[in-house]
Parts: sequence; C-alpha cells; structure tokens
Amino acid sequence: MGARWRVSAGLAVGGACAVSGQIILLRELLVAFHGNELSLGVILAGWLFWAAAGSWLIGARADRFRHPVSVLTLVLTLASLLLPATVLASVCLKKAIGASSVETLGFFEFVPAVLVLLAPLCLVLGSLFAIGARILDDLAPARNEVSRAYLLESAGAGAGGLVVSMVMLPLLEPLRLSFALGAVLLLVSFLLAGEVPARHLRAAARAFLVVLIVAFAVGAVSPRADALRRRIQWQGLDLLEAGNSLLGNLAAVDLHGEVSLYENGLLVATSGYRFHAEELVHLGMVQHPDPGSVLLIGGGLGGALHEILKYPVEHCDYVELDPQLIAMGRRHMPPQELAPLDDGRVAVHCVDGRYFVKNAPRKYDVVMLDLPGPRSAQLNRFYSLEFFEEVRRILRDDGVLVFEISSSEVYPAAEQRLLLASLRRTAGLAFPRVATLPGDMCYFVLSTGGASLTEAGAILERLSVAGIETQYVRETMLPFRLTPWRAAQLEQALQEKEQQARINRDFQPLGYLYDLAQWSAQFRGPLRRWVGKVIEARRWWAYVIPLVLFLVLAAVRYAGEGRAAGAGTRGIPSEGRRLAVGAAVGVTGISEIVFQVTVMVGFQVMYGHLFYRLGVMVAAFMAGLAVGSFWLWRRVEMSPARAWRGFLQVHVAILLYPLVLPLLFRCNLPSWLFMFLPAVSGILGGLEFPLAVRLWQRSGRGVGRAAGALYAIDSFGACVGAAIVGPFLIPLLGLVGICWWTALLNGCTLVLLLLPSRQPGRPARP
Amino acid sequence: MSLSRRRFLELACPLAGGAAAGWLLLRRFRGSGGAIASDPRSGGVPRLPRLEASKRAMMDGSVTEAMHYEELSGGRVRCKLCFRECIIGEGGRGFCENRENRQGKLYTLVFNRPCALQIDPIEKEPLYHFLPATTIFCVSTASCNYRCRFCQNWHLSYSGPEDVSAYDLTAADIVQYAKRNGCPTISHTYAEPTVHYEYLLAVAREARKEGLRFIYHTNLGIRPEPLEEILPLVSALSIDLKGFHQDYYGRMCNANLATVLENLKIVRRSGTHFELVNLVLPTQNDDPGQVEEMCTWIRDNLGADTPLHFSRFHPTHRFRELPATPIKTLERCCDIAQEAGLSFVSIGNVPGHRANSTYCPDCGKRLIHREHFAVLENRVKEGSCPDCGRKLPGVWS
Repeated sequence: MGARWRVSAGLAVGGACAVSGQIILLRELLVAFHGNELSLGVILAGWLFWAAAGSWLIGARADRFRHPVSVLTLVLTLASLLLPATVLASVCLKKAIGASSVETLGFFEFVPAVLVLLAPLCLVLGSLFAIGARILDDLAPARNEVSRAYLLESAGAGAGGLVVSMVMLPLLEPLRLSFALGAVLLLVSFLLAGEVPARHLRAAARAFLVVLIVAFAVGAVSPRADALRRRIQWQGLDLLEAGNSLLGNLAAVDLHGEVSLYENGLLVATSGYRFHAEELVHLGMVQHPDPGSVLLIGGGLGGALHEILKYPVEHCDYVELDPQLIAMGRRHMPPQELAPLDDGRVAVHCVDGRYFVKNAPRKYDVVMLDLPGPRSAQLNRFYSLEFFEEVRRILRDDGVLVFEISSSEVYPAAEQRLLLASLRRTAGLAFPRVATLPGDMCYFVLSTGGASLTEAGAILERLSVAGIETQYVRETMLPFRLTPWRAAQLEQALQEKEQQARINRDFQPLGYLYDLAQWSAQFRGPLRRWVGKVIEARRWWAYVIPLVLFLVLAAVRYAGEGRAAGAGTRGIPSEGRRLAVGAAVGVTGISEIVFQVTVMVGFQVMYGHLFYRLGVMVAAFMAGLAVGSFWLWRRVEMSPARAWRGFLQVHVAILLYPLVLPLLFRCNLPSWLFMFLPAVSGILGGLEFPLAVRLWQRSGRGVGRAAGALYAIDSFGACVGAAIVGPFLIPLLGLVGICWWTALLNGCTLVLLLLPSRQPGRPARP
Repeated sequence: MSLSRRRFLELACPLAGGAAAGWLLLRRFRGSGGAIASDPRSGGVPRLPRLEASKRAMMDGSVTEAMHYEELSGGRVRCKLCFRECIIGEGGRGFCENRENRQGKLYTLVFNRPCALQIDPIEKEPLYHFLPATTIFCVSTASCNYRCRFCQNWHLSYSGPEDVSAYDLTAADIVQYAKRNGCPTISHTYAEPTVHYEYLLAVAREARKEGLRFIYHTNLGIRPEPLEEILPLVSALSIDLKGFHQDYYGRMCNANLATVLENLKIVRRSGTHFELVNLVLPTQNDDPGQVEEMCTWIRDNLGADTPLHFSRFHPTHRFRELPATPIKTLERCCDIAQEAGLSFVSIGNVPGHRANSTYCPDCGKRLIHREHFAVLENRVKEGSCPDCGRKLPGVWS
C-alpha cells in the first residue's frame, strides 16, 4: 500500500472517529447536563471551537513539519488515547466540580467543565485535516488534493457517524466503543508508522503501537472499564442496568427497593411513586363525563396507565418513543407496576407522539401528555399551536387535552409565568376553553366542550361518584392545593405576562426559549438576565448583526488592501480579497448549521420524529459534502480564474438556498424528498471549501497553512452557529426568519467578495 | 327629551370627573409598585404589581435602614444578621442581595415588600404540635442566606429583590389579611425569613399587638443577637435541620452546621416551642449512622420531647432527577429516631402513612389522626393525652 493510500486511510478513519467520538460524548454529556437546546449548543460549540483552535494552532503549521507523516502518526495515536480518556473523564465531570451524580449543573459550571474536557481531544482532531491535506499535496502536487482530503474526511465522517449511531452504540457501551474506535485509529497509525524515516524509530513506534492495539482490543472486549464508568456515573445509586438504545442512554437504578428508570439522564419513572401520575390522570379524566377512549403520550411507566384503568375506559392508546425503555422497565420494575401494559384495553405504540397524533387511528375523549415540558425543539412540538390543532381534530365532542408544566404553588418565577402565559395564549387559539390549575405543576385543561372542573370540591365529587380510590388526589390534599387564593394569584400572574408572551408555533418554537429562561432562573448568575434580554430584544436586532459584521469586514478589507497595495496586479489575490474569502468560509460554517437545524426541525414538525429518517438526513448531508468535493477533485486542471468564478457561483447558491427553503416548507414535499434536502447544503459546502483553499493557496502559502486556517474559520463559524442558532435565533426569528437572516448574512458576504479593489486601475481579479 | 344646558353640565361634570379620577387611579396603579387593587380589609387576593413597577419602587429609595450591622472604615459595613457576617463595600450588597450599603449605611431592600402570600394549613409548615387543623397566613420575600441545591422554593430563594414582583404591604396590612381570611397565625416561610429580618420583626410585633400568633420556618442560620431579640415575639418555630455533617451543610447548602446547633440550644433555652424538620434526600443525607448521630444529639441537647419530622423529598430544582425518598428509607429514619429515644417522630409528605399521625409516647394511643394536611381526629385535651394524661409539648389553644 502506497503512502498516499495510507494517509487517505488516516484521514477517512480520523474523520469517522471524530464524528463517532462526537456522538458518544454528546450523549454522555447530555446525560450530565440538562437536555435543552442550550446544552446541545454548548457541547457542539465547544467541540467546534477546539477543532478550530487545533486546526489553526497545529494544522496551519503543517507546512513547517519536516516529517509530516510522522506528525500524522503521532496525531492519530494521541487521538486514539484521548478518545477513551475523554469518555471516561466525561462521567467524572460532576464529581470533579463537587456535584452529585444525578444533579443538574448550572450553565457556569457546565461550560468551563465541557471546555476543559473537550480541549485535548478536539485540538488533536482539529489538526488532522490540515496535516493530511499537506501530505497529500506533497505526494501529488499537481492534483487537486485538498478536495480529495475533504472528500475523504467527509465520507469517513458520514459513514462512521451512521455506523456508530445506528449499529454500534446500541451494541457496545461507550467506553468499549471508544476503545474499539481507538484500536482502529491505532491500526492506521501502525500503517503510517511504516513511513517514519528513521529505521530504529520506526521499529520502536510500531512495537509501541502493537502493544497499544492489544491493550485497546482488550479494552474493547472487556466489560470492566465500562463497569467502572457506570459506577462513577451513577455513584450512590444501585445501578441495575445501563445501556444505549438507538434513541439515547437508558438506565435502571434501585433505591431501597424502589426502581427508577432514566432516559438520557432524565428521571422517567419510579416504581410505587404515583404523585404526578395521579395528579395528571385524575385532574384530566374527571374533566370528561364518560371517558371511553384515552390517548396517553409518555408517562405509562410512571403509573399513569394504572390510574387510567381505574376508570371504565374502553380503549387506551399509550405512545412511548423508545421500545427499549419499556423493555428495561419490564426487566427491572415489579411486575404489578407494568401489568397495565398487558391489559386488553391498552395498546402500546412505540412511535413518535406527534407522528401518532397526525395518523391517529381513532378519536379520543381524553388526550394526556406526560412529557418533560418544552425543553428542546423536539419536545416543543408537543406544545405548539399546530399540535394543539392536530389534537383537537382527533378529539370527540366534549374531548379534553391535559398536560402539565412546571410552576410553583407559592410563587411562579417571572420566567415561568411567561411560559405559562404563552402556552395559554397558544392553547386559546386552538381550543374554546382553556383552564389552568395552580400548583408546583400547573395543569392545563384544554376542552372542546363544557366548562372544566377547576375547584377541589367538584373534582372530588366526580371522583367519589366514579368510585375512584386515590392516595394523593383526595380530600386531604386537593382542597389545600386548589385554593381560590392560589387560583386567583395564578390568574393574575398569567394576565401580567399576557401581553409579552407570544404564540408558540411549530415554525417559531418560542416555547423552548421561554423554557430555557425559566431553567436559567434556577441558578444564580448572569445567564438569567442575559436570556431575559434576548427574549425582550426586538427582532430587528438580529438582522442588524450581519450588516454590522459586513461594515467591519469591509473596513478591514480596505485597510488590508492598503497595506498590500498592488498585490492583486501580480495575479495574487490581495489581502483584502483573502479576507473576504475567509469571511465567506466562516459564514458558510454558520449557514451549514442553519440549514441542518432548520431542515431537521422542519422535518420533525411536519413528519414527526423518525429516528431512522433523521439518520438518513445526516447521511444525505455527508453524501452531499462528498459529492461536492468529489466533483471538484475531478477538475484537476481548473484555472485560478475559473476557481474564483466557481467560488462566487457557489456563494450565490448558498445565498439563494435559504430563500428557496421557506417555499419548500410550504409546498408539502413528500417526506422522502424532504429527507434529501440536507444533501443540497452538503454539496454547497463540499464545493466551496476546496475552492476557498485554492484561492488562498495562490498567495504563495502552503496547502497545510491554507487548509488549516480555512478549516479553522469554517469550524469557528459553525461553532458560533451552534451556540446561537438553535438556542436563540430559531425561536426568536422562526424557521422562515432564520432563512432570511442567513440569506442576508450571505448577501453581505457576497458584496464583500465583489467589492471593487481600492485602486480602480488595478483590478484584483486573479 | 330635551336636555337643558345646565342639566347637561350637571350630568357631564361628575361623569368627566369620575372618568378622570379613574384614569388617574389606573395610572397610579400601573406606574407604581405601591398600589394594590384590593384592600387588605376586604380579605381578597392582593393584586401583584408588574415586575418593572416593583423594581422601580425599590430603586426609588423606598428602602429602610437595616438592623444589626456595624459601620467599618472606608464606608464599608459589616452585616451582623446571619452567620455569614458579610463585609459590604459602598454600593455593594450582602450574600443574600437583600441588604445594600448606601453611603456607609446598610439598608434592607425588602421591607414591606413580600412577594409570596398564601393561606396554608399549619400541618403543611409542618407544625404538628401547634393549633392543629388551623390555617396560617404565609408570607415570604425574595432571596435566602443559604444556597440549597434541592430547594423546593428556588423561585424565591434564588431570586434577588429585582427578580420578583413584590407587593407593598405593611405589617398592619399583613395582619389585616390574616384576620380577614380567618387565620389565627401568621407564618413567615418558604424562603428564609432571616433575610427580611426587619419586616419579620415588624409583622411579629403587629401580630402580637392584634392578638394573632406569629411563627416562622427557618434554617436558623442567624446570629444569636437577632435571634434572641425576636424569640419573645414568636409562638413557635419550624426549624430545618438539613443534615448532621458539616460536609453536607457546606456542599449542599453553602452553610454552617455549627451555627444551627448553637442556635437550637438558644431556642431551647428560650422555652419557645419548636419542631425540627429533616428533609431526607436519598443517597445524600440518609446514612443511618448520620441519622442516629443527629437523633442522639437532639435527645441530649434539646430533649427527647422535641418533635422531629422526616420529610419525603420530591424531585425538584437541581435534584429533579433524583428519585423521591423511598418509604423504607423514611421508615428506617423513623425507627432510628425512636430507638434513640425521641418521643414525637413523624413522616411527612407520605399521605396515609401511619407515622403521619401523632401518638402518645407513654400509652401508644393515637392522639391526632392526620392524613397529609388534613386532621381527621384530634383527641388532645388541654395539651395532654386523654388516656394517660401525658403532657405534650406544643401550643394547643
């Protein structure tokens, strides 16, 4: 095998391992943190930030390395060592900052911890592309090797990501999987070590790598390391089982005989603990005079089904997304807890709740949601106007929809009031009657028929008539919970926020931003005020940002051209134009995140959360990247002028795509076609990047430096995008608004690219 | 019907005047945090001012000079209210954020500024030996001097005075509300009352003047002087003893156990009735050895008749993902306490549990049959067991 192939293998495997590591660590860290959009944004932004730094600090120096293959070998070996080390460290994160194993961390605890945790691994992985590109260019200088490097890394990332998330994660535990991935990296290092120039060093390196490969292979097959990881992760709790399903991290723990189930670190159910189940079910079921047909979305393992079956229902559909969760519950919870799952009246559907509601087989008297509130874009789909309208369509006359939102029975925080008020306004557009019941959980009763029961006496009377026995929802508790005083205060609190609260829609998911605000209020520190300011800010501020950025960059561009006056005349792009190219790459980094998140969120609200289809969408994006870079790679002889034109054309396409995207949202594309939309953004990214490197390279700098710097800029753009697009811009501007925003951003960049040179007589066109 | 000019003026002027007055009143209500829509004497729910109005009122200078502080050099002050004894520079605030140094003097920002008002059963406090089956008028302001990671009332305790919509209610208003709502007792509860000490003291004095009982629920992280000052005005205290190791107090609450233990002895010496509440967090403070140590200390230092409640934890705040306390854990705590010799041990937040009721330690008969917050039967006669005559600690009439 030639050196070129070995390096290619290194790049492809490196790309695959980087994405796989990202998926593993994302899951582990989301277990440690609160699973909202901000945490997801922080983890991705942290990853991309260090990747950018690695590419800038190490990759951009690739041209100076005397033996770059040796450096690549070292980088791959380091990555293989750091991958399991980081996975193990991720579970020690809470302990390191003095928190308990099931404690939720605040923003200012989590962010530094994540940044420190990810730094070593991501710095190393970030440098990989630039070093690889430089070596490939050395080996075949006449060919378009940057495209090849980009193609290899993208293809590796796409294939690795799919295989790991779809096949390997459910089979292997995270640490074993990271050892397995590390072993593959070490094998490639071993192959590359053959290229190390000094013979004795080569032999030593290979011997060392063989030892490591054996050790990693043992780690990959031995369950001990993961047993240790689990012990640390669930410290203090008697862990019965932990593992990954396709959809996330699952665990069952025993606490003094009571079994609790966790999904992605969130407590789903505890055997024998029916407090919330009783409240939800009975406050909901009493609203209907004769509830015969019931739909329950989530919560079936926490006792809600038990409570529902106390009524003479004819049929109950129970929707739970993850079948593995039910299977784990069956393995560990006391059999009587899950007996309702086998009741003839209950039908279990392991499918996305939104998808089920869109395709419901019947109509219902009562629909109940037992979900954790609109924490993320995915969960927000169950609290939007469109969802409420969909539920209304599957309700019979006098049907009710009931759900709960975190509140306080003594004083709901201002942020909680905003969320509650927004949901009430939203629900009021879909249902003629919306009642709210005060308490630590505020219950919403949305009904199509008569007035809801909100007073303790009326609720208790109906329970008594129906002969329902309860432990919590009874005369010894309810009259003290649903006091007229509390009801009046809640009403005041909601009225206070009525004006400020906006409607929560599928395409403008404000619910999760409001939820983020109420989450931030739990911790001292400035985050609460920052999020508050974002919510209060006028939307046009977001559109000012691209314009300000453009003005600053235009000024810098002219200043740069002033210093390097005349550079353009010798056929070399001026400093100013190089800056514009760099800015375009950074903006593309942000745009790619916008396209990905927008299409994913759009798909989920239009067609439901279907895991395999989301996997196909990720694969479509990666395939697009590969196709784009492959197409360029074939055009070895592309002239510099053609590259410049091509770059501009690609950028025009990146500008036009977000203008077309909102139209695609409206024209009801078939779902299979929608799934391939990410390929478009992939192709654009795949085309743009190698062209940008080519345009930078002409300045006389080496491939490594150009590739390293641009990869860093691209990653940094994506980092900024990850931090602001999902958590803030999408809820604020909506899916259509974010598309306009991206178009504006790209429009500004295009103008920056096309700005005439400072000296009119000396065109800078290469 | 024709309308003479004079008649028109007679009708129109009062109407216009009324409209103008209404408009002005409305403006006042909207513009200031001070006005409340409902009169305390009517007993109705007071209207919350808007957050912005609330903030403005606080910054406008409607603040009261704080008690228990000393002036230091350079315009700094030392707050001597709680165990932290914050040294606060000019313009700065203490740990609780409720007390601000303005030109070398310490001011409280929450005097007359409660933000949570509720009517609860006394059993919810929990006080099981204090006027059973009566209601309490509950009051709280923003903030706390602890930072418990499992706080059920984080909405208040983790908020500064600017973060909440506060009423403007004097001590006399509070007493009027309590009276009109049929509450024989006023309780300062939810977030720590120490951080609004001046208001606490004012309400306690007013309550005594008006013949109402006054209680409060505290973490007891207060300094001895202010504690001794308020105790004569207090009918009973519900006191959190969150754990029995400094490690737990420090890590989970950012607080100091020794202060609490010393203050417990002061309360005991004062003769004020008090009950202890231990919130049992599974895996955090449920170690049997620690519970035994705590119960033995209570018996030896506070007396075997000290009522002790083991409360069930419900997932909340930073421990939203920690399961609720298993019943068996609570029962084990209960057994340990009884073996240590404590006479009145109960389990809270588990409706229907036997240990939710009160039993006579001598004859073992059930004295108060309690289920959750409701008293189903109360057999206590003049503070004693009707069967064996055993005297019971508490306030019974």
